[in-house]
Amino acid sequence: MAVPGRGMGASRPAVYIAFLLTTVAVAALYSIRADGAFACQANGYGPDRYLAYCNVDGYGEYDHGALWFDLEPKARTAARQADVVFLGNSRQQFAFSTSATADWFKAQSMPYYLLGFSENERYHFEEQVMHRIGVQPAAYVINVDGFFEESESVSASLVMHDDDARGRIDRKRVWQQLHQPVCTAAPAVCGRAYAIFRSRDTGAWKRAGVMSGGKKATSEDAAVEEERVDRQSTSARIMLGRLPVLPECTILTFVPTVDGRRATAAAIAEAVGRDFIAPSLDGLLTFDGSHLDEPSAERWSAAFFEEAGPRIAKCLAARPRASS
Amino acid sequence: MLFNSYEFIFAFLPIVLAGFYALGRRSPTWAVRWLILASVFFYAWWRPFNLLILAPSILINLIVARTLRRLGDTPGRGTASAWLLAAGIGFNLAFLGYFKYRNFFLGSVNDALGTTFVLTHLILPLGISFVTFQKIAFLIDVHARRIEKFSIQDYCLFVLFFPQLIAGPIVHYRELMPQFRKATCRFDANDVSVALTLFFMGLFKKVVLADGIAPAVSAIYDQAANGATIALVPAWLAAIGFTLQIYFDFSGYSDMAIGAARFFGVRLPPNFDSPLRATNIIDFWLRWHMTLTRFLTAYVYNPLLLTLTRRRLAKGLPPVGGRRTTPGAFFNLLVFPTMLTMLLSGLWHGAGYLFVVWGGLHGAYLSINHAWRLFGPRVKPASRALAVAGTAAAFLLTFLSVTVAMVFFRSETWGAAERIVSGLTGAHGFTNSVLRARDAMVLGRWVVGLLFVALALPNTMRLLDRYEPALGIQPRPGETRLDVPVSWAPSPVWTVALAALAAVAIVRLSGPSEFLYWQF
Repeated sequence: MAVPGRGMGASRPAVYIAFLLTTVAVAALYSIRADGAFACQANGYGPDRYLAYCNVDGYGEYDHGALWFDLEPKARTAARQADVVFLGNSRQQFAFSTSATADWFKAQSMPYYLLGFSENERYHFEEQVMHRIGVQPAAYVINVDGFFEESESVSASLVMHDDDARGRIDRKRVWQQLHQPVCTAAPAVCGRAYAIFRSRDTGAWKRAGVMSGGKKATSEDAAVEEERVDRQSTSARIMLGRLPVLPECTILTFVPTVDGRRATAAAIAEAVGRDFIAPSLDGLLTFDGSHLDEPSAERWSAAFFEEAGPRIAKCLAARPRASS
Repeated sequence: MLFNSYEFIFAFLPIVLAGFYALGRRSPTWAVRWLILASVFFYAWWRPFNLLILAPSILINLIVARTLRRLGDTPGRGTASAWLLAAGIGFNLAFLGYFKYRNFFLGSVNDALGTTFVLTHLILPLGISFVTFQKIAFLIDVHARRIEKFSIQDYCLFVLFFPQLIAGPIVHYRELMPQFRKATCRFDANDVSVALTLFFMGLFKKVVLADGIAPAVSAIYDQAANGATIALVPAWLAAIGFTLQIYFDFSGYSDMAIGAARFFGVRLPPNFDSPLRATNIIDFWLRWHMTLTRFLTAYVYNPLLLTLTRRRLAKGLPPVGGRRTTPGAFFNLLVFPTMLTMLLSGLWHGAGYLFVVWGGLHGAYLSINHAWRLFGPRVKPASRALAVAGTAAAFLLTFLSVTVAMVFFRSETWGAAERIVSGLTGAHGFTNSVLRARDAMVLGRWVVGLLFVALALPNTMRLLDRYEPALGIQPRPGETRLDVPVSWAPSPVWTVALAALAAVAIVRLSGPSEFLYWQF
């Protein structure tokens, strides 16, 4: 079948196959290193942390699907057993992923779980995740930062509506099992792309690497946007009404950010008749123009628990305990 | 499992091939059993539950086929055989109907009668439309005694053979199984080099070309679905862009399927032959998804035409007879079967009104094409220039007709399709904010580049025609100027060229990808 030829046109099937397969193997290794999980470092893994996000096209977001499809059973168990559940976006996650938060809950001997998501996730997805997990907290803390908008993020939409999403997300879990030992043992082999790791025990985030944007001081937009208030308070009333806790055990807050709509958030809280606890502190900084940096998050969360702590403790005390 | 995935390319395929060649050295029978096992694994990978759905269907078809064969051997049991065949076809159609059309049917009833049937979300078993068609064709072939002998192993291999399992090409038993009987099941460097070439050319078409243009096209269709009005330029870029996307997507996947089969020494039938170069719509369907056209022609159109012709003749009415064809014969024997076949084709592609419209449009195009052939003027062009101009006009008309129909295929809602089509007419101005100038340039470059590849360059079958890449493909004269001098061989030049294509495709594998045909 082979067609003979001469020089550059000569047919050499064995050489052809060998060269092609070698090229494919090299291309695959390059691709995994440049555009897969291996583009991210592994220093955020811990005994209880998984790679929730790696900022390259070939990996991207794992977090939404991990909890939606129950790919991290330990995280599901921890969230289900939490006495306090935090809902909101990535700003909420970074703001409460602090020693101040962990220390406060440790002192109260209360399990908690930060169940916020990236991509400015809203209530529609998070409420359904809570339902799938079966959370039963005594209190909720919700970052009212666009949370009650009637939409869902791209990642949420994919995991909720794409029949093929589970397989894709599960592959990312499998990649982590290779990424963690290889990049821990030989960090030089792996890249330095921005990554987020989530604790299975508390949902707290730990970031590795930096995003573009640079440090910026937080600021507030004092104007109340009535249209947003009307729109979000309608869905907020419905969603909050479905939470199986006393109204005073749902605490609405607003994590500081650049040009944050704190006044609008406060107006939404007032419209739905819930407490709004959001300390205003000077000198807070974001590490990327959006999320509080670690020192600022420590200060702000400590201030939050100083104010909201007694309320949360009261909610837990008021809850009837199942007899053991 | 998709061909364009790491797990297929770097784990499944190498392991299956290693096992197949190793077992083939000892016993071809064991190599074939290994292949069946691998195909089951391939099918179950995406959702193991699918196997529980497919297995009983395979078993029932096998029982029906064996009974049909026994009845065929018994004189005077023709009627029983025909009834059993009808029951077998009915079972397969009901199977397909339940999973694919239940919600569409109930939704239509709810819309029409105001009823409140609950629509439950059913996950479509992988490749159900392709598998069902193959099983139906098998039963018909057994009934017609075109298949005399088959074992359980043969049947399972025919239905499950993984290269053609989820998206075709739709294969006949008598095409596939004789090749397995002759196969050595051993490593053959010639076959493997052809297989690798087809596979990586297909992968390149799929993940680099089709997935490359997809985001820009989807952005416009998404805006149309969200209610935005679409101006002339974005509408045409989206419509042509999607036509190119689906061509490279599906023909790329078909190339990968044909290549994957060739690793086992098996040639699948060709599925695409540069269809966008067609100069009439009949020609288009002889080049686009050729195995589906072949199936619909053989099992729907021809039997229907035959029955209708017999009826007309029995009534003393004239059949189709060239330019003397009567309007009655034309509508009864050409328009009706064509429309019905194409409406079914539309429904086969998807359970939705827009697919039906797409099929209906093609039915209308084909009917007009038939009418032109029968009744149109027969004037020989006075000069070569006029002949070229006529061919160019015919090409343009065919391409634009296909493109407009594709709008209905791609649109998510009727409203979105309406907005794109009205954009095509220029009803909303030349350009608008739906497409920023920079994005228009990017999409425009994609469209021009892909048009060049689709219309001017030789296709994969043509490039490899000296090696019979697919069943029945033989060397033939080129259609375009660039077709003629280019022909593949495992030579140093092609080694470098293919390695470059494969490397780019592998690097692009991790990008976002949508495969348009995989749940059909």
